[in-house]
Amino acid sequence: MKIRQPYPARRSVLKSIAGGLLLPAASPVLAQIPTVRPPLEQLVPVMKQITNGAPVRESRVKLDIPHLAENGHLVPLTVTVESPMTAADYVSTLYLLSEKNPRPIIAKISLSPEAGRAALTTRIRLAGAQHVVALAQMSDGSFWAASADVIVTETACLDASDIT
Amino acid sequence: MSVARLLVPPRAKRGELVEIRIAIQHPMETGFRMDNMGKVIPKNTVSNLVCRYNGTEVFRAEMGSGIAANPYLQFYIVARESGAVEFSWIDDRGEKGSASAVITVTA
Repeated sequence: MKIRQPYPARRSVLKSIAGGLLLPAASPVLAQIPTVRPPLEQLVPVMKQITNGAPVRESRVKLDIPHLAENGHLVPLTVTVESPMTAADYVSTLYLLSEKNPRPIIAKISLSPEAGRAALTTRIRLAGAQHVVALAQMSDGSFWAASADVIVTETACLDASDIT
Repeated sequence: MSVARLLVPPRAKRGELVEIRIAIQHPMETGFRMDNMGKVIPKNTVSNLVCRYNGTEVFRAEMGSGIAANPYLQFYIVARESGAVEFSWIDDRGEKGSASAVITVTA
Protein backbone atom coordinates (compact mmCIF):
# COMPACT_ATOMS: atom_id res chain seq x y z
CA MET A 1 0.00 0.00 0.00
CA LYS A 2 1.37 3.33 -0.98
CA ILE A 3 1.08 6.25 1.41
CA ARG A 4 1.14 9.62 -0.22
CA GLN A 5 3.97 11.69 1.21
CA PRO A 6 2.81 15.23 1.81
CA TYR A 7 6.33 16.67 1.90
CA PRO A 8 7.39 16.72 -1.77
CA ALA A 9 4.14 18.37 -2.71
CA ARG A 10 4.53 20.95 0.02
CA ARG A 11 8.09 21.62 -1.03
CA SER A 12 7.21 22.14 -4.62
CA VAL A 13 4.41 24.49 -3.61
CA LEU A 14 6.79 26.44 -1.37
CA LYS A 15 9.37 26.60 -4.13
CA SER A 16 6.91 27.95 -6.62
CA ILE A 17 5.71 30.57 -4.11
CA ALA A 18 9.27 31.54 -3.22
CA GLY A 19 10.29 31.73 -6.84
CA GLY A 20 7.29 33.83 -7.68
CA LEU A 21 7.85 36.19 -4.78
CA LEU A 22 11.61 36.54 -4.61
CA LEU A 23 12.65 36.89 -8.21
CA PRO A 24 10.56 39.93 -9.14
CA ALA A 25 11.31 41.41 -5.72
CA ALA A 26 15.07 41.03 -6.15
CA SER A 27 15.44 42.65 -9.54
CA PRO A 28 14.30 46.22 -8.67
CA VAL A 29 16.62 46.14 -5.64
CA LEU A 30 19.54 45.25 -7.88
CA ALA A 31 18.54 47.98 -10.31
CA GLN A 32 18.70 50.54 -7.51
CA ILE A 33 22.40 49.96 -6.76
CA PRO A 34 24.25 52.79 -8.52
CA THR A 35 26.99 51.65 -10.84
CA VAL A 36 27.97 54.51 -13.13
CA ARG A 37 26.67 57.96 -12.46
CA PRO A 38 27.72 61.13 -14.27
CA PRO A 39 30.28 63.13 -12.28
CA LEU A 40 28.90 66.05 -10.32
CA GLU A 41 29.37 69.74 -11.06
CA GLN A 42 32.51 70.18 -8.95
CA LEU A 43 34.51 68.06 -11.38
CA VAL A 44 33.22 69.61 -14.57
CA PRO A 45 35.68 72.59 -14.63
CA VAL A 46 38.60 70.27 -13.86
CA MET A 47 37.59 67.90 -16.62
CA LYS A 48 37.05 70.79 -19.02
CA GLN A 49 40.56 72.04 -18.29
CA ILE A 50 41.99 68.62 -19.09
CA THR A 51 39.87 67.89 -22.15
CA ASN A 52 39.89 71.46 -23.47
CA GLY A 53 36.17 71.19 -24.05
CA ALA A 54 36.32 67.93 -25.99
CA PRO A 55 33.45 65.50 -25.36
CA VAL A 56 33.94 62.76 -22.79
CA ARG A 57 32.23 59.48 -23.51
CA GLU A 58 31.26 56.98 -20.85
CA SER A 59 32.50 53.59 -21.90
CA ARG A 60 35.76 51.69 -22.51
CA VAL A 61 37.01 52.67 -19.05
CA LYS A 62 36.42 50.39 -16.08
CA LEU A 63 36.97 51.68 -12.55
CA ASP A 64 37.14 49.10 -9.79
CA ILE A 65 36.89 50.70 -6.37
CA PRO A 66 35.15 49.45 -3.24
CA HIS A 67 31.66 50.91 -2.85
CA LEU A 68 32.29 51.27 0.88
CA ALA A 69 35.75 52.32 2.06
CA GLU A 70 36.30 52.06 5.80
CA ASN A 71 39.37 54.26 5.72
CA GLY A 72 39.84 57.21 3.42
CA HIS A 73 43.60 57.18 3.92
CA LEU A 74 43.99 54.10 1.81
CA VAL A 75 41.45 53.15 -0.83
CA PRO A 76 42.60 50.59 -3.40
CA LEU A 77 41.50 51.13 -6.97
CA THR A 78 42.05 49.60 -10.39
CA VAL A 79 41.48 51.31 -13.71
CA THR A 80 41.31 49.27 -16.89
CA VAL A 81 40.83 50.79 -20.33
CA GLU A 82 39.75 48.82 -23.37
CA SER A 83 42.46 49.52 -25.92
CA PRO A 84 44.54 47.47 -28.37
CA MET A 85 47.66 49.34 -27.09
CA THR A 86 49.34 49.41 -30.49
CA ALA A 87 51.52 52.25 -31.74
CA ALA A 88 48.53 53.55 -33.73
CA ASP A 89 45.91 53.28 -31.02
CA TYR A 90 46.78 53.39 -27.35
CA VAL A 91 45.87 55.09 -24.09
CA SER A 92 48.25 57.99 -23.72
CA THR A 93 47.15 59.51 -20.42
CA LEU A 94 45.09 58.36 -17.50
CA TYR A 95 43.73 60.81 -14.93
CA LEU A 96 42.33 59.94 -11.54
CA LEU A 97 39.99 62.65 -10.32
CA SER A 98 38.32 63.21 -6.99
CA GLU A 99 35.24 65.30 -6.42
CA LYS A 100 35.93 66.35 -2.82
CA ASN A 101 39.69 66.24 -2.30
CA PRO A 102 41.29 69.71 -2.00
CA ARG A 103 43.40 68.83 -5.04
CA PRO A 104 40.99 67.23 -7.50
CA ILE A 105 43.65 65.62 -9.69
CA ILE A 106 44.82 62.59 -7.73
CA ALA A 107 47.28 61.39 -10.33
CA LYS A 108 48.20 61.75 -13.97
CA ILE A 109 49.62 58.61 -15.52
CA SER A 110 51.33 58.61 -18.91
CA LEU A 111 51.35 55.30 -20.73
CA SER A 112 53.07 54.11 -23.87
CA PRO A 113 52.13 51.35 -26.34
CA GLU A 114 54.84 49.25 -24.67
CA ALA A 115 52.50 48.78 -21.73
CA GLY A 116 50.53 46.18 -23.67
CA ARG A 117 47.54 46.57 -21.42
CA ALA A 118 46.08 49.84 -20.18
CA ALA A 119 45.63 48.96 -16.54
CA LEU A 120 46.71 50.57 -13.30
CA THR A 121 46.27 49.61 -9.68
CA THR A 122 47.10 52.04 -6.91
CA ARG A 123 45.91 53.25 -3.53
CA ILE A 124 44.40 56.70 -3.06
CA ARG A 125 43.27 59.05 -0.31
CA LEU A 126 39.67 60.25 -0.23
CA ALA A 127 38.34 63.17 1.80
CA GLY A 128 34.81 61.94 2.38
CA ALA A 129 32.16 60.06 0.45
CA GLN A 130 32.23 61.13 -3.17
CA HIS A 131 32.49 60.32 -6.83
CA VAL A 132 35.83 59.17 -8.19
CA VAL A 133 36.40 59.58 -11.90
CA ALA A 134 38.91 57.82 -14.13
CA LEU A 135 39.47 59.78 -17.33
CA ALA A 136 41.46 58.29 -20.18
CA GLN A 137 42.89 60.14 -23.14
CA MET A 138 43.53 58.01 -26.20
CA SER A 139 46.36 58.56 -28.67
CA ASP A 140 43.82 59.99 -31.14
CA GLY A 141 42.88 62.65 -28.59
CA SER A 142 39.46 61.29 -27.62
CA PHE A 143 38.40 61.11 -23.98
CA TRP A 144 36.65 58.29 -22.18
CA ALA A 145 35.65 58.13 -18.55
CA ALA A 146 34.12 56.05 -15.82
CA SER A 147 32.96 57.16 -12.41
CA ALA A 148 32.21 55.36 -9.19
CA ASP A 149 30.48 56.29 -5.99
CA VAL A 150 32.48 55.64 -2.83
CA ILE A 151 31.18 55.91 0.71
CA VAL A 152 34.06 56.73 3.05
CA THR A 153 33.38 56.11 6.73
CA GLU A 154 36.61 57.57 8.10
CA THR A 155 37.80 60.45 5.97
CA ALA A 156 41.42 61.21 5.16
CA CYS A 157 42.40 64.45 6.95
CA LEU A 158 42.68 66.48 3.80
CA ASP A 159 39.87 68.87 4.54
CA ALA A 160 41.79 71.79 6.08
CA SER A 161 40.88 73.75 2.98
CA ASP A 162 41.61 77.14 4.62
CA ILE A 163 45.33 76.37 4.44
CA THR A 164 46.80 77.29 1.11
CA MET B 1 67.02 58.42 -0.39
CA SER B 2 63.76 56.61 -0.22
CA VAL B 3 63.42 52.87 -0.09
CA ALA B 4 61.27 50.96 -2.55
CA ARG B 5 60.17 47.41 -3.14
CA LEU B 6 60.02 46.45 -6.77
CA LEU B 7 58.51 43.27 -8.13
CA VAL B 8 59.36 42.33 -11.70
CA PRO B 9 59.20 38.70 -12.88
CA PRO B 10 62.80 37.56 -13.47
CA ARG B 11 61.94 35.57 -16.60
CA ALA B 12 59.33 36.02 -19.30
CA LYS B 13 58.54 34.70 -22.76
CA ARG B 14 58.96 37.11 -25.67
CA GLY B 15 55.79 39.12 -26.14
CA GLU B 16 54.41 38.13 -22.78
CA LEU B 17 52.51 40.67 -20.70
CA VAL B 18 54.34 41.09 -17.41
CA GLU B 19 53.04 42.71 -14.27
CA ILE B 20 55.25 45.35 -12.65
CA ARG B 21 54.65 46.36 -9.07
CA ILE B 22 56.40 49.03 -7.07
CA ALA B 23 55.86 50.30 -3.54
CA ILE B 24 57.90 53.28 -2.38
CA GLN B 25 58.40 54.07 1.27
CA HIS B 26 57.32 57.69 1.45
CA PRO B 27 54.96 59.63 3.77
CA MET B 28 53.26 61.50 0.85
CA GLU B 29 52.78 64.50 3.15
CA THR B 30 49.66 66.34 2.05
CA GLY B 31 50.56 69.85 3.21
CA PHE B 32 47.30 70.06 5.14
CA ARG B 33 48.58 68.53 8.36
CA MET B 34 50.10 70.37 11.29
CA ASP B 35 52.80 69.30 13.69
CA ASN B 36 52.34 69.50 17.48
CA MET B 37 53.51 73.14 17.46
CA GLY B 38 50.66 74.09 15.13
CA LYS B 39 52.98 74.63 12.21
CA VAL B 40 51.94 73.35 8.81
CA ILE B 41 53.98 70.38 7.64
CA PRO B 42 54.93 71.30 4.07
CA LYS B 43 53.60 69.20 1.21
CA ASN B 44 56.01 66.50 0.20
CA THR B 45 54.88 63.86 -2.25
CA VAL B 46 56.59 61.72 -4.85
CA SER B 47 55.61 64.11 -7.58
CA ASN B 48 57.19 62.42 -10.55
CA LEU B 49 58.00 58.78 -11.17
CA VAL B 50 59.35 57.37 -14.41
CA CYS B 51 59.76 53.75 -15.46
CA ARG B 52 62.19 52.96 -18.27
CA TYR B 53 62.50 49.58 -19.95
CA ASN B 54 65.76 49.16 -21.81
CA GLY B 55 66.18 52.91 -21.78
CA THR B 56 62.79 53.85 -23.24
CA GLU B 57 60.18 55.47 -21.09
CA VAL B 58 57.17 53.20 -20.74
CA PHE B 59 55.34 54.65 -17.76
CA ARG B 60 55.21 57.96 -15.95
CA ALA B 61 53.17 58.91 -12.90
CA GLU B 62 52.61 62.43 -11.65
CA MET B 63 51.22 62.06 -8.18
CA GLY B 64 49.97 64.43 -5.52
CA SER B 65 48.45 64.40 -2.08
CA GLY B 66 45.60 62.21 -3.32
CA ILE B 67 47.85 59.17 -3.47
CA ALA B 68 48.05 57.24 -0.21
CA ALA B 69 51.23 57.16 1.86
CA ASN B 70 53.80 54.64 0.62
CA PRO B 71 52.60 54.89 -2.99
CA TYR B 72 51.93 51.61 -4.70
CA LEU B 73 51.63 51.23 -8.45
CA GLN B 74 50.89 48.16 -10.48
CA PHE B 75 50.87 48.12 -14.26
CA TYR B 76 51.95 46.05 -17.26
CA ILE B 77 54.64 46.01 -19.88
CA VAL B 78 55.26 43.71 -22.83
CA ALA B 79 58.49 41.74 -22.49
CA ARG B 80 60.32 42.26 -25.79
CA GLU B 81 64.04 42.11 -25.00
CA SER B 82 66.08 41.10 -21.98
CA GLY B 83 67.08 44.14 -20.04
CA ALA B 84 66.54 46.39 -17.11
CA VAL B 85 63.32 47.85 -15.77
CA GLU B 86 64.46 51.03 -14.09
CA PHE B 87 62.46 53.35 -11.89
CA SER B 88 63.49 56.81 -10.84
CA TRP B 89 61.48 59.33 -8.89
CA ILE B 90 61.76 62.67 -7.21
CA ASP B 91 59.75 64.18 -4.38
CA ASP B 92 58.78 67.79 -3.66
CA ARG B 93 61.85 68.27 -1.47
CA GLY B 94 64.05 67.26 -4.38
CA GLU B 95 65.04 63.92 -2.92
CA LYS B 96 65.62 61.36 -5.62
CA GLY B 97 65.18 57.65 -5.50
CA SER B 98 65.65 54.76 -7.87
CA ALA B 99 65.10 51.04 -8.16
CA SER B 100 65.76 48.59 -10.93
CA ALA B 101 65.34 44.94 -11.80
CA VAL B 102 66.51 42.76 -14.65
CA ILE B 103 64.13 40.75 -16.76
CA THR B 104 65.38 37.84 -18.89
CA VAL B 105 63.33 37.24 -22.02
CA THR B 106 63.34 33.80 -23.58
CA ALA B 107 62.00 32.89 -26.98
